[in-house]
Amino acid sequence: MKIFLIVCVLFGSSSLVGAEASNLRTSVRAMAHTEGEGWNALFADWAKDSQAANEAAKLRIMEAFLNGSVAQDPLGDLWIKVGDIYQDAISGQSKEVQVDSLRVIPINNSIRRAIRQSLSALSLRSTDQRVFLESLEALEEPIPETILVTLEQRSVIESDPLLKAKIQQKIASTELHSDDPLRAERALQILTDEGKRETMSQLQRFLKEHPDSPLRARMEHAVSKLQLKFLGLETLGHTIYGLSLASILLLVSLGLAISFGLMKIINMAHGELLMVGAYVSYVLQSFLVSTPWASWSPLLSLPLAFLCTAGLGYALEKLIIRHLYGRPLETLLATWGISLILIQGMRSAFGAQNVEVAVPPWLTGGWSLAEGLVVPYNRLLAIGVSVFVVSGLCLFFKYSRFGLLIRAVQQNRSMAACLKISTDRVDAMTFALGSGLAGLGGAILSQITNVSPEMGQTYIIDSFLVVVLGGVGSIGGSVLGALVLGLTSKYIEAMSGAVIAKIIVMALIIIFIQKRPEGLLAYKGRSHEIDAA
Amino acid sequence: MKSMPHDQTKLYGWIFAALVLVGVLLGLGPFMPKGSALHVSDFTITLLGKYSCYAMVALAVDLCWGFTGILSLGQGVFFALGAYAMGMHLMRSMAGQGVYGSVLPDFMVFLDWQTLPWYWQGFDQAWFAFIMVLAVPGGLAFVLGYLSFRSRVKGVYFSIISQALTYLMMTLFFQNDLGFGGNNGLTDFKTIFGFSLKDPETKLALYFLSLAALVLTWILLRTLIQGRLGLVLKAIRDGEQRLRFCGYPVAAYKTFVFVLAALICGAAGALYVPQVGIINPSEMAPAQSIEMVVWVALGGRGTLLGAVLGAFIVSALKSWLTEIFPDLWLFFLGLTFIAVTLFLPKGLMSLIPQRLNGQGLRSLLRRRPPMESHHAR
Repeated sequence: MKIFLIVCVLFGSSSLVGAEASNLRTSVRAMAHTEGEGWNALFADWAKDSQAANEAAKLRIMEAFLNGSVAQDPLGDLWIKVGDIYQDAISGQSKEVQVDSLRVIPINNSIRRAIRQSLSALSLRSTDQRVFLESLEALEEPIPETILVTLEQRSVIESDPLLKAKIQQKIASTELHSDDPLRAERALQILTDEGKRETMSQLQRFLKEHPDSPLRARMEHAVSKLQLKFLGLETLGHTIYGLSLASILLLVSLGLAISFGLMKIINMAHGELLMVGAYVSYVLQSFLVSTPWASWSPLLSLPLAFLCTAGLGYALEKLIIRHLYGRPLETLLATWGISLILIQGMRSAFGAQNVEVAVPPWLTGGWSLAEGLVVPYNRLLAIGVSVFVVSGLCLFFKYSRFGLLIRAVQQNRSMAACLKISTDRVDAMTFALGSGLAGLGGAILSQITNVSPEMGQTYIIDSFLVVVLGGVGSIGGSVLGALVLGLTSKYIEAMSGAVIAKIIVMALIIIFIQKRPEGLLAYKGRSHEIDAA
Repeated sequence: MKSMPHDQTKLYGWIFAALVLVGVLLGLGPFMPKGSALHVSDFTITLLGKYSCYAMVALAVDLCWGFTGILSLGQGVFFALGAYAMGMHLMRSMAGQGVYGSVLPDFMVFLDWQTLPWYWQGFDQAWFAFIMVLAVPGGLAFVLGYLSFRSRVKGVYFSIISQALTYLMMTLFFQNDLGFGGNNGLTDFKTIFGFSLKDPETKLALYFLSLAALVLTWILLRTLIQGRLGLVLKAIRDGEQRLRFCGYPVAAYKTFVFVLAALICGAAGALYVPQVGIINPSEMAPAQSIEMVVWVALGGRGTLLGAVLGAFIVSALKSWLTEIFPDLWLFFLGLTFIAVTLFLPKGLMSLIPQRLNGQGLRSLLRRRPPMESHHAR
């Protein structure tokens, strides 16, 4: 159809010289008596260089033949049905015609093939690059000799190097089968230099079909080189996607690394704090939607989500969790209760369906690294934010006074209390920090996945696994845990598919935790009974 | 810690016996004339049968958590596995009666499978299905328990691992090509041992069967807990390290308890399936397993009666609330969690002795069980 439209445009510019037009008319009228092989000859004739005139009309007629919208009047002139009206096939003008006098020309598959072939030969001569490229890609191998000649001519005059390479590659794939060893060798050279993914399968197929080819050794060498190249590319891809997954895992589990890792609070509402953060991002976006700030809402939502969920966390600690210190199993149940209330609360407020958080223009699309390897910008944002947050946390714990207080209280509560540190206040603030980080993770998630009241449930188990795998009590452990989990998942996924990979990874983690309950990075504190919760 | 005072356990036993009697009387309800106040509908009977299965699960959870201190958040998996094994038998026993009239279960025809997978072999035999109802959950519990307890994974770590297992199993069973019906699970059962599942008599029989199983479980657990084993279990709960130093093979005890609980859950699941008529992976959702823990938490852990009461009360409330105020159910459940943990750490059972005391049963007050020690941290 596209070709047809373009052809109509071309039609306006091309001047119909009377003699050539009547030539074509003669050829068209001859169709009334054409049978069998005659059709093939007729269309092949159309595609010949000497008949280059009337290109537009020919293309139009052949397209119409393929669509089955060609009819012939008793004189032998062709009419093309466009919508409800008939156009004269050669001039393309709508004219009055006696509809009942028209006869539809029946065509069979062999005619169709002939039409397609000359159609592609014709469009390969087109000066329009898009038409040319389309028909080039549609060419089936082996390419017939006549078209091959056209292509070679084109490749000589083509000035665009990319297009030239494409043409040469196309020629080479046919030439590869050539009996002339020199031509075949040159074709092989071109194909290997280009190094496309399909080249590899092409060569392998060739080797299978012609096991005694003189080029066998060189071809095998080329195949193994290509294999190595793509293996490298694939590994790079899995690594990048793994890092991207790791950054998301890290963002969703950092909050838990504080509340569970440092404070030993089994916070089953952690996933719901993520969810609240995502909803904060959604609400902020709906407020900003018609302001100039709209496209910055993903970034603006980060501090806002942090503050909102931190406040929520502070309230939860003061009201509920404070009373359950030292009773981890009860904490687990109570926080699960909190999570249920938050889920139902969000359902009542925003509905049970997903809410739409739009991705601003600067976050859509991705960074194309190589053929078939694109990293979406929102994933890059997640990687960037996670690096930023982790380094911020490290600085906070190391250099800020409050960070020092947190470390002091978690390491030796009674000693800290003796030094007049208000451990109650520090506890509440620490939990608020963990909740805030969860909210921040949720705000990032809202740019990546669906936002719904149940979204937290998806992440709670992953988050716990990251923290436990990494080693409870250290932020560094969680970073390591997220990296290991993210990369392993993606590598296994490449071999076995997403769901099976998830199952294998979980099973591996369960086995790992059995063997090493203290995690990858063990917390080296005074308390050796870290698992005596 | 000394086990519960004897007369109190006896009292609980009597309360349970009274409840069972009520259950039996309710079971006679369908024979009463329709419209009379004593008539009980088939629907209610099936509901009560379902609750009885839940109560068995609650007893199992209580055995693990209340008596031994193992909080498993994966009890739903064992329940569902038992249910699946029974469901497979029901599917196989109706071969040829499906929508497609094929020997294979409908969903396999739908997936265009030609032969029965090897792991479906044998399920047409009831005895084989019964073995699997127990063997599969028991086997899984043994593997998980043995590995975990041997490497001294305990407390919340074990909870998290068991929850991860639940999640993993759910993800696995959602897979269509696993061969257990994927998302839809196993459903559309017709008969059980030749009796139509639609018949009121079959429903009643299944109800009495569930009630009997509940009573048997109660008797079994009560005997175990009254005995020496019960003492060891409570010692594990309150001071695992000390008991290990005394030379007790703690891991073996814990594994035994965990497997026993899984067997009970599997049996409960098998009784559950013919009554509700469907088993699908959502039974393995982590939330389901946690709800099982709520039954025990609300009723009162560490007492068998509390677990049973909790299961009946929470499930009945759920049936009632989700029907009239569907939005309120989660609020209610969440608040129950918080309120019970904050104000009633021993559950509803902690209310009983005080009330009895008001009626003059002094002996009970004097021998009230000591408050639970802070075994946790």
